[in-house]
Amino acid sequence: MRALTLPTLPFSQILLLILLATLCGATVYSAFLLYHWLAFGERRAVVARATALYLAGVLIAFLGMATAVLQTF
Amino acid sequence: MQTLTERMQLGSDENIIRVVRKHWFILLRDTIGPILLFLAPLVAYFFIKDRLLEFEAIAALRAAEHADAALLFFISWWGLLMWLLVFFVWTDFYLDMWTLTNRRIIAIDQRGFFRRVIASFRLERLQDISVEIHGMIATLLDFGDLRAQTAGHDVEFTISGVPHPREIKKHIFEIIDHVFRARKIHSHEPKDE
Repeated sequence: MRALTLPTLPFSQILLLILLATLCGATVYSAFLLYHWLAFGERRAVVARATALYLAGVLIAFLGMATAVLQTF
Repeated sequence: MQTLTERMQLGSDENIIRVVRKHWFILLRDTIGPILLFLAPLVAYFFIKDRLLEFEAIAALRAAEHADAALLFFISWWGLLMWLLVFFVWTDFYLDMWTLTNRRIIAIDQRGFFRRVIASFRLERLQDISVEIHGMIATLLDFGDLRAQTAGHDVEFTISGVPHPREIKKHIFEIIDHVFRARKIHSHEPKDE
């Protein structure tokens, strides 16, 4: 009887999978966050500044992750 | 998209007089955890790296192929999670507020993404406002809880950690006095035949 062998993914693809899963999660989360700010935020200027800061942080984090994934290929 | 003020549907002669939010210290207290957790891997990497490498398992991981890339990935991923958490806390902070108008007080309590309690009561229903200041930091920075008691159903409206609570209480009573005085004058004006 042949032993069942699980397919193994290369490290780069594991990181890529985590990156894509995080991207999906962060997109949904960001949509909720931005909806709340736009719908219930009192001042547009504060909301605009918070959105810019938030998106900048998210972009930097994803750039870091993408750079790491590219380094493994 | 409509802003909160537009959604409140204020009356034609109703104006917002003041918006009360929590003290900045409350935001700092709630975000300090995620900020420290964000900094923890960076501190571990830059300051106690040599000590960590004394452990065999960590040394083996460090020597593995793509270790630098994995480290960058982990730090970015962890940083992202903490960044999202900080903004979650900020959202809760920013959307919790009391809006004082010349007719009523609108109390908004945001609890997470999916729970939002909005209550309003007319100024003439307000019976009493109590102020509670707990602890040394709250006393030094002058922030505390405001509790408004309304007539009728024994309902209490609370906002915690607001800056200068005594001054806000005084301001609310000034607004009430001003509104009632204006109404009294208005009701005593001779009516045109």
